[in-house]
Amino acid sequence: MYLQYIIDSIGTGSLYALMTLGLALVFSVMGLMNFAYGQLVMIGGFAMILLRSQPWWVLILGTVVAVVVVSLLMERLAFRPVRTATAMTMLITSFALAQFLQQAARVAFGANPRPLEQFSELSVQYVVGDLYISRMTLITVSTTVIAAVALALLLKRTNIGIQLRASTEDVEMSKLVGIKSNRVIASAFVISGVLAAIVAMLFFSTRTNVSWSSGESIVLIAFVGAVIGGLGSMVGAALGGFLMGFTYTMLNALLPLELRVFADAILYTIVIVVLLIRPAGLVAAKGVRV
Amino acid sequence: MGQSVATWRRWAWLTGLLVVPLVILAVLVNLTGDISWIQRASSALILMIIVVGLHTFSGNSGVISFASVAFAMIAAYTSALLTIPVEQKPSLFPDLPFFLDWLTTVSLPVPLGILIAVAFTGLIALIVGIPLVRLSGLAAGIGTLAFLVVVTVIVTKWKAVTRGESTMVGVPKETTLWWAVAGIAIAIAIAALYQMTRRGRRLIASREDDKAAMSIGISIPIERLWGWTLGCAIAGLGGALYGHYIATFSATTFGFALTFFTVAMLVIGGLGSLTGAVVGVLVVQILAEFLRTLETQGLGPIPMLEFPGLTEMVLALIMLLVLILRPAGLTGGREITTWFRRRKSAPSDQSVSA
Repeated sequence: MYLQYIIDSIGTGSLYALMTLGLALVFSVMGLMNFAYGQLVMIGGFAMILLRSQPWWVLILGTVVAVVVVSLLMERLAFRPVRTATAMTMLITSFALAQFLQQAARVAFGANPRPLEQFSELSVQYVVGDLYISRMTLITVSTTVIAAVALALLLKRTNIGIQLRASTEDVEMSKLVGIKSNRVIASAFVISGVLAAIVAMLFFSTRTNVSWSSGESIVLIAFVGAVIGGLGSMVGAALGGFLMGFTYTMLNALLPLELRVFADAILYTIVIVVLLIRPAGLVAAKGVRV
Repeated sequence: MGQSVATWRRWAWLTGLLVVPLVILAVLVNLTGDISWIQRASSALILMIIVVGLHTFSGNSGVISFASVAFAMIAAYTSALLTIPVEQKPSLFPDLPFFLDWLTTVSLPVPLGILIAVAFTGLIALIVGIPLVRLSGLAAGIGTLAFLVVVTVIVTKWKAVTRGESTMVGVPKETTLWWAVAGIAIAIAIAALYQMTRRGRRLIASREDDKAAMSIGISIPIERLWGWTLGCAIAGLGGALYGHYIATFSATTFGFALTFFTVAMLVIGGLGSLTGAVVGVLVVQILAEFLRTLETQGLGPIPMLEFPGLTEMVLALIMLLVLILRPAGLTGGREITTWFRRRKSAPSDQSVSA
């Protein structure tokens, strides 16, 4: 019984961890908490609707390309001009950008949620003893692990990854040694876009529709997960996101029925308590100012 | 508090320069006799009260808060619960918890209800402020955002007291344009007084340089707590007035959308000055009304543009442009009293760090 809850919670936790990684990466490079990140996932959802009838590889590729293009445009048109402004101005800029993308989607796709035809091949359930494991849970967990490992390798081993990490440590110094910050930041947005597209595919595969407001709750989770996990630390971000998803699913399963409706309130109260005990997050990165 | 005459004079100037134009505007709008214009002006002024409350904390402390709308919501519900006529209460709230049973026999006059709601909001702000103001930067953003989520969930799910997802009805609709004018005048006067007297100056000092402030003996958490409590109470005044203005409301009335608008108005006006809060609300509201007219009925030669969301989309785009072209906001964080003076020193434009 409890094991079943834990399996389900691990599934949600992995998805949330993946959401948090994309947000945390951009933050660690340029100190921007990108509120518009959730809208990238929403755009990925609409791309899936438009490409639903195509072969699966076109669907995946098309969704990734669409989200990455929007992510790059975001960086070029909105965030590059305010890069030197205060963190507050950057935060509000991403707020305004999120609102813009959300309302643009409402104008383009209508105010009502658009139905997304289910992927029946993903809802297969495996039975192990008295436990049920859905194929989707397996796919989510393994995709998260693969994406996290790929991200770690990218950051540790490749040239662009090393430049990214150098910029995370000290932007001014990395400029002095010849790292082009425009290119590095743009590549962070590309990676963040790819992650958002993967999140969109995993998230909307279990939903029946996509709405212009779908991105809101996602960015809230990622935002909170990144901060309680520890800003500037990728491991911390993934851990924070995972714990958010894990705790939320567990609360929903274990709380008595009359308190279950308050699961969100309890979760966010826990968040406030964690912030008070560890303002720099669970895994505090070196030299990050909060 | 033993302020010097010069302080009082500066206070009178700032309050006057901000309030008098608003009063003139209200009188002019009232003279047109156009009911829709009067409604627009009233709601803009009420919204301005909430933004002034947000400025009182965030503008002076440099710490972002997403919680002011949560306090507006608390005040609106409190005042509603206190003022709904006794006859309607049993059918609206059939299963009040025992400790709130006394509400069924109480129906206060609206001004008293608002007053108690503001005091209650201040008290809640004081209690949750004790831990919350210790956070700064992004942690403060998340902490206050988390508080907004908590309040929203409680209001949406605690059916017995808040009617849950059903709207609050039967709230006496008494807020008029003149109530709104009185409310904003009080809010501006208090906010201006606060930021000119010792307590407010200490908070501003902590915003400009936290280490220097601490080195001269300023306790930043205590000063932030004062600013926070006062700011949240002002936001509560706005919320309570708003409740009695629209008369039917639910948790979604005070959701993320309103939070976004209030924070954006403050930043567009120019974070760090009371003038910025007033200007931001005026500019954004006028733009929003213009766009809404365009969306719903067309304007002159321009046909009606019937796309839901168009107003919000264009508004967000304009906000983006302001942020990109003028990151310090329209007023650059300067008070109206310094606009006509020569710059003696560089103004503290980008004084707010998150």
